[in-house]
Amino acid sequence: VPLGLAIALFFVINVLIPGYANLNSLLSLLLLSSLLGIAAVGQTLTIVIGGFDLSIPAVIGLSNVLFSLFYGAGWSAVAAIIFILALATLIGLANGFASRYLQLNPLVVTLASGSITFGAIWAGTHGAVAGSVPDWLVTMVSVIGKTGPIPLPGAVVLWAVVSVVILFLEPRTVLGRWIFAAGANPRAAELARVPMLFVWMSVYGLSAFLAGVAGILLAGFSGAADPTVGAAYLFTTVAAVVVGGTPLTGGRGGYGRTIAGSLVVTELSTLLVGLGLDQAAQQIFLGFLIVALVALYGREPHVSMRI
Amino acid sequence: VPADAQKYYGGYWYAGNVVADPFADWKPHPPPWQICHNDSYLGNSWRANLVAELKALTKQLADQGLAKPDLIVTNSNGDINLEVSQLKAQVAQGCDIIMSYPGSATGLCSGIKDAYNKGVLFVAIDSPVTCPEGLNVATNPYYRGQFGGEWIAKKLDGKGNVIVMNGQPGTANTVAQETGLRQTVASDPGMKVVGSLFGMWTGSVAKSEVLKFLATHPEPVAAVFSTGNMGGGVGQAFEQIRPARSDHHRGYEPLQPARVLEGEESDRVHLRPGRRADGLCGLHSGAAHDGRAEAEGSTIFMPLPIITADNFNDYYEPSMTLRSTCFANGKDLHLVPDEYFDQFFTGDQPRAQVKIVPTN
Repeated sequence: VPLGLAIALFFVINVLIPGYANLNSLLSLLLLSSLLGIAAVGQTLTIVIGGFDLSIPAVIGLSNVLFSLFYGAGWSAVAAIIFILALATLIGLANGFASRYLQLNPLVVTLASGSITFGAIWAGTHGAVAGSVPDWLVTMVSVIGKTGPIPLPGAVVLWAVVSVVILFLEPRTVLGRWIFAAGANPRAAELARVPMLFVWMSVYGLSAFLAGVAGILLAGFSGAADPTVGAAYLFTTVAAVVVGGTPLTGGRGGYGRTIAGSLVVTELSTLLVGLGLDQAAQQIFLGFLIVALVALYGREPHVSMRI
Repeated sequence: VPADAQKYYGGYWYAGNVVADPFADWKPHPPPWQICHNDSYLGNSWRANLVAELKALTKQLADQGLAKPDLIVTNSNGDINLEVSQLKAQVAQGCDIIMSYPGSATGLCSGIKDAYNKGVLFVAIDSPVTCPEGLNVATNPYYRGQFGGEWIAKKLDGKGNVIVMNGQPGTANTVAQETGLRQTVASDPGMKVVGSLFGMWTGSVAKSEVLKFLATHPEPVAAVFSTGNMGGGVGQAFEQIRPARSDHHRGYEPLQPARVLEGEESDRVHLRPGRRADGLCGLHSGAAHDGRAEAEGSTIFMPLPIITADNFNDYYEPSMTLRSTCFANGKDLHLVPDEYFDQFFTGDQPRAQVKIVPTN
């Protein structure tokens, strides 16, 4: 259904906005969706295991700022990326550990770790963010960028690769099955000897890792560092997951739906801009849509009640 | 308002009050003064530089025996209720002069009145307050829009579509600026504002909004009015989706200013009000007149520094590239000469001498 909605919306935009159907518009849609889609991987999987990740915007901001600072200070891009993604993953692992081992509410844990992360950016830079980004990174997130012989921006290709990996991981690996088992019925999963701490730490680690990737891509996207660059991705990653049809109750759904959700959210905001509605109106519209979809999906009983 | 400065006050009522100086009979506390800064948000480099400069200026005033060496800083992180309570706390802890970047034109009024009643000078920087007891030092947002509209109309010979890239929706600053632009552009029947976008002062958001706009608006766009540090993102979006030069995405504000350094552009006007601590020199000076000086009104609007290819190197370092992140510093680090502020004050005491130092 969400994929059908994404395709239908594309045709609706074509009807409502003459001239929309062109290559650049399609590439813009894919590029913006890819940034959202990569950031939303973690939100999807944490929701599937019954958690939530409010630290995604802060981790995006951290990696965005650090990459520009490090590269501007003369680090090689590879060294900067490895360091930043390792740091981001550590934040995610800590989120998973605190949520599962210490039995703390993941909403509170990730809200707190996001606050700590953002505070650390502020304390470390005093808000004075400078630096630069390499040309290849700018090209990677450019509408007209190409990836070798593939006529698509690197970020879109990366999104495709990440999607394939996640779509393979979910049903075809032990970890994938553990993730859904942990979200469907945590008690039953424990009794079935699913290593719950490992699952939670893996999912939150992956979430932060990909939030870090999104932050680095966003550094190239605008060519500048900004600690608040991830702010928009809290609402939109949740919107992409919910619009895609993954229930907030956990145990069902998956990243395939979020891919469609990312496309729908980007298409909707594009349509609203095309119709002359500002960002406030977009937020109102998306807010209503989320409530409507949660009301729709939320009526289904939790998977644990159906076993 | 002094005659030479009146041109900067057009449409001021969209941005704030200009009333008689509420501190006309003010007797400042004896120096050294405790100077404080009350900020609504310190999460970006622009604000961080402002605080760094305030600290440096305060230190210089301290060296002259006029101020205590430490600047007391609060940050409400966007919470206007918290900002009011922080303001009242600053008054209670003995601040003599409070600089503020307020989060609202009206939301701090109770705190400002409290400060006024206790003889504490309150000066809003860049974002004017309408409270009668507050002083303002800023560039006039209506005038910014008006000036930009006139410049764009001139460059386009009065014909073409314009889009406006604002920061945050709903603020008095944004409304005043866009009103100034729209009213000016409306006088040219061949010009039309076809889009009003909000980039939230973030380059990537601005770029996303422009990409969506261009994808859904096939008509030509002749000019972009962009403020803040969003110009880079706006420029990239145009380059990527409409590289043909039939779209003259002329820069107004730092729309990839490094292009001038790289010799690609020479006809752009860049306005970078940037370092508003400049304006504080004037207010520090007024305070330093030891009560024998009186400001001529509640609001001082500053001229806009106009950066063109001719004076570009006075504002930007030659090392800046298209991938750099920075703000314009201004010639000798001043965007507005100190002397500009003299006309707003009476009295025969010399200005306190302070020197702006680089902080980034």
